[in-house]
Amino acid sequence: MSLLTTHVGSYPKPPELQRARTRFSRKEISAAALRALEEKATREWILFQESIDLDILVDGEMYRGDMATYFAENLDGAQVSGLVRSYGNRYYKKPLVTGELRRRGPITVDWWRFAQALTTRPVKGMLTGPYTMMDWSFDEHYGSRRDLAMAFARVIREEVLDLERAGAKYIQVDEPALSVRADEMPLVHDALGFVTKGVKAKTITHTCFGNYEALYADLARLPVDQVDLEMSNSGLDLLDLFRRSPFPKEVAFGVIDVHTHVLETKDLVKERIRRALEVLPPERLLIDPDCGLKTRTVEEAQAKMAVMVAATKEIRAELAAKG
Amino acid sequence: MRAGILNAYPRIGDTPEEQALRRAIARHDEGEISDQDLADAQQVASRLALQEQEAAGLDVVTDGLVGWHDPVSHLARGLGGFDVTGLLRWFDTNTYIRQPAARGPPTFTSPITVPALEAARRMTRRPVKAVVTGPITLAAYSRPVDGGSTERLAYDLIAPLAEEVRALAAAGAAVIQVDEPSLTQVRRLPAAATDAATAFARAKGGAELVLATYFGGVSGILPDLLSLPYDSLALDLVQGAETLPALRRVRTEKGLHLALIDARNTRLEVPAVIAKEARDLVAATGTPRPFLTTSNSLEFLPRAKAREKLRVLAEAARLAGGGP
Repeated sequence: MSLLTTHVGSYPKPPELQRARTRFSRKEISAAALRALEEKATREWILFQESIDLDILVDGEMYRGDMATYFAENLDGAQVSGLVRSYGNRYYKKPLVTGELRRRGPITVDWWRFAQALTTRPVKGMLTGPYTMMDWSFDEHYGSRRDLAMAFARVIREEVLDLERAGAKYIQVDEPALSVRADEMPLVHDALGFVTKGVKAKTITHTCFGNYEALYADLARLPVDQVDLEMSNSGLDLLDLFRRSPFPKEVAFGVIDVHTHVLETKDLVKERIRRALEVLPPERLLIDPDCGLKTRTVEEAQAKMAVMVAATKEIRAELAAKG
Repeated sequence: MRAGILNAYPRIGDTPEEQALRRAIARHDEGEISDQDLADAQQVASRLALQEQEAAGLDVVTDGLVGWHDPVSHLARGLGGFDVTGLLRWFDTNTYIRQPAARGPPTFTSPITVPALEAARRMTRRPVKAVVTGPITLAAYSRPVDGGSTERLAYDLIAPLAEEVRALAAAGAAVIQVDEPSLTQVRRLPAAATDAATAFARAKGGAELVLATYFGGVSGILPDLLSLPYDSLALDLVQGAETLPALRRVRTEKGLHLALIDARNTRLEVPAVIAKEARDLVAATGTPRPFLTTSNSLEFLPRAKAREKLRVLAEAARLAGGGP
């Protein structure tokens, strides 16, 4: 089937889980009580994704605070810093590397197994890439961006291989930080290439919110099978680049702006898909939101995903009618 | 040697008390508190930022820029002629600005940064530095009108920003800093940067006018920057360490704000090492007005670490000679 639908990664945590995380941080509830709510929320998101007929699912990351700090919390040699500002009134905690990085054991495999057991549809394994982990960390140990990125690459590769052994058919290694330093693309290639080398599962990387003009040729050579791109927030600017120089890989194309409360209309999403089809064949085009939806409310995220899938189905029908 | 932070300071911290502004913004967004309530919360945050700089012993302080949305849209929201649109990554950071989209030539309607400066001046006896993002950077991170160019937009921004500089000078800013981080991304100095410097120099009154570059080095354009009619240059010598050899080769009558304290990493510098580097640069360049500062906004650090950096900054300046 062409025009498969998927999601980039995170969904919003339901209010009861948000409250529970706060209470857990204050030591008011046990880890088991928190885990029960994380499992409940994961189950609900898997059911929701099945209910709208999404093709490739995610676990929604109900157990993660932030995409970088979650991994820092689970690695020896890393800690979590205090809050720093991301944008507007949003803050996050950054990894703080204070020693040699080592994985204590599988980090995400247990959660992937839990989510995959809930559905017959494929669930993506979701990891944060070595370049992004490096770029978004404070470094008090390695003293070199390359050394730190390759140290992260070693532990992330271990996680990729464990996910593959567990049966993951799709493994996404997010690199949102790659979009801003063209001079470091060789490092991105080396680190991401180390992570994905020889992996049989379909490998994906997601990036967003950058100026791709200078990076376009490098994006096409990234050592993954599929590149997942934010498109709608930037007004589909990247389409001109696709037109000038056809993109050789699968593209997961963001048709939903994740940073606005406004719900896209089905017609708007269909228009974005049609414009994507002008430059990419349907068999290499997947449809998804620009980025994770964790900053929206549960209701907003569900409405946006439902519109996205409904619009994609109508475009699929149009394509089928044309033969 | 005198010392102060480059521009912004963390507006929240990790304790519940230090998160008052965050809560106030959230409640304002939900319509639960008024504009005045939010302004009051910003003022409290600004007072804390000033107090922490004073407690560290810094000579020149800022209000922490705690009311700024971001370094780009904060100015664009206050000028006429812009809509504010989607998120755009800010240089090579994991932070974002709202991208302004020009509807037409930008216009000056009323002072944008002056109320915060006036409030800060009422809260401290120390000289207060005001910050304005410059036209090259504002244009680079904005979307020009259809058919327009970034270069044209940069030129169009000079006059309204010069009005802002004039208003800041009239309001008593001791230092007016024009932030142009985008100049670290160019090989040749844009002509608009020269015209802007001339316009700002005419508007600055008795304030010290500083051009600040960060997120990289400027070795290729350093002689051009030194020829601009700014009183001082603030140079990122951490992420922009490649500027150091070029800087050691120049002699200048300008003030040099030596940004030797890393504002993007938590590792703490040794004050004596920074002091020696600063002294060596003063000796090499002959600058008559050396100033020690941070390489970037301290908002890139958790507040507790930012406080430690303030102490390192002040101690390094003391060891370098003069200062508090």
